[in-house]
Amino acid sequence: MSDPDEYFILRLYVAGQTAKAIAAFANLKTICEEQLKGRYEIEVIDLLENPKLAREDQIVALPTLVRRLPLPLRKIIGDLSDTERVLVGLNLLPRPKD
Amino acid sequence: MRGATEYNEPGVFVSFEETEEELKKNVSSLGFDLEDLVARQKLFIDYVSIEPGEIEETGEYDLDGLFIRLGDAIDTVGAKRVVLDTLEALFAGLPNPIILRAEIRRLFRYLKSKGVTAVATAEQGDGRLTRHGLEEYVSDCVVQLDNRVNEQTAIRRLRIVKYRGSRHGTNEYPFLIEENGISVLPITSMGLDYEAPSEQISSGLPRLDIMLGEGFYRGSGKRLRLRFHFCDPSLRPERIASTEPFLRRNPAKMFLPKNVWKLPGSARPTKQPLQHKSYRRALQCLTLMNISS
Repeated sequence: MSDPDEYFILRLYVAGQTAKAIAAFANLKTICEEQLKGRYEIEVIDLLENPKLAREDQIVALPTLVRRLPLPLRKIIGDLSDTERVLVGLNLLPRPKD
Repeated sequence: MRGATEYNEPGVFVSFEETEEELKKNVSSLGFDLEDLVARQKLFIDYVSIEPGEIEETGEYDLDGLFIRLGDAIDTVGAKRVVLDTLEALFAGLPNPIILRAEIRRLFRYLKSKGVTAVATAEQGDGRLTRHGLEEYVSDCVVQLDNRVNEQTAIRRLRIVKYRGSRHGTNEYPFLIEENGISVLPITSMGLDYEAPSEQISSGLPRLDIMLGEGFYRGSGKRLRLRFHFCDPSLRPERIASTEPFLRRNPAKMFLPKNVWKLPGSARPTKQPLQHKSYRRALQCLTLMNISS
């Protein structure tokens, strides 16, 4: 589990204003407000505007949320509708034991 | 790469397994200078790394990220050819096969709409052409490559499984990977119609010459000639050609009746006697002789 004072730098990669992109941003915003109020930063990157940025973070699927800080780097793909898995991906919840 | 070097058709290489550095190193043994091609904007290498461990899947997604990278790469160099090596990595890295299948289908259509020729590699599946049984159906052309070891000899073979809009050979053909590319050896199209030389050359031993008529036929009797090689340095060993004209020249010596060369209904010796059983046997016999000589 993460330290409650940790600062989160998140990057959301999308390609235009697609339904998935809008859903992902809305879901992310809700989750962050609930869990990380005041200690997060979201940067939205539209790859249609700058396709070269996709290489920097090895983006394949969209939308992709990249947790740049705290380390290690984590990627969460999809529209972030499964809140529990997003929290696991952000390391805010322990990984469920199968 | 050949497209880039010889036909001025730039290409994109999307590597899912090897990094750019590894690729450059590995293909240099085949005589390609990737560094130079990249510098001259003839080739774009994109290493796509998918780490299953760092990806969490939450809800709907697509492969637009890959599409955008590919599109950008194609536009950067004006690519005409694209290599995807290998899509297998996508299946390994992303957990949802349903989305993946739909997206790969879309990827192939996208590449087509871009007007590029794309080569996608896939691993052979268990009893299927590809592991996921998808790529071979969405592609226009499928070439199966194989390397089998038979009696301690490894032979690479190639088979065209499918080629939409074109007739193609259906057999497996052996091929070689050499410094200057791939050589395919389509045995069935190889002609054996060399002329049989009628020129006779001296064995260097007058009495033997008398026994042989006037000497050896040029290009024949390698084994015999080798033995007398020292007699006349001009008699270098030449390749024995076990071809039809040679066989026709002196069938008696080959223990074959003359009429072997005539197929029913053909007035003159046929040009395609490969179907004829005794001809085949004769060839086999000759091939054996050559090997032992």
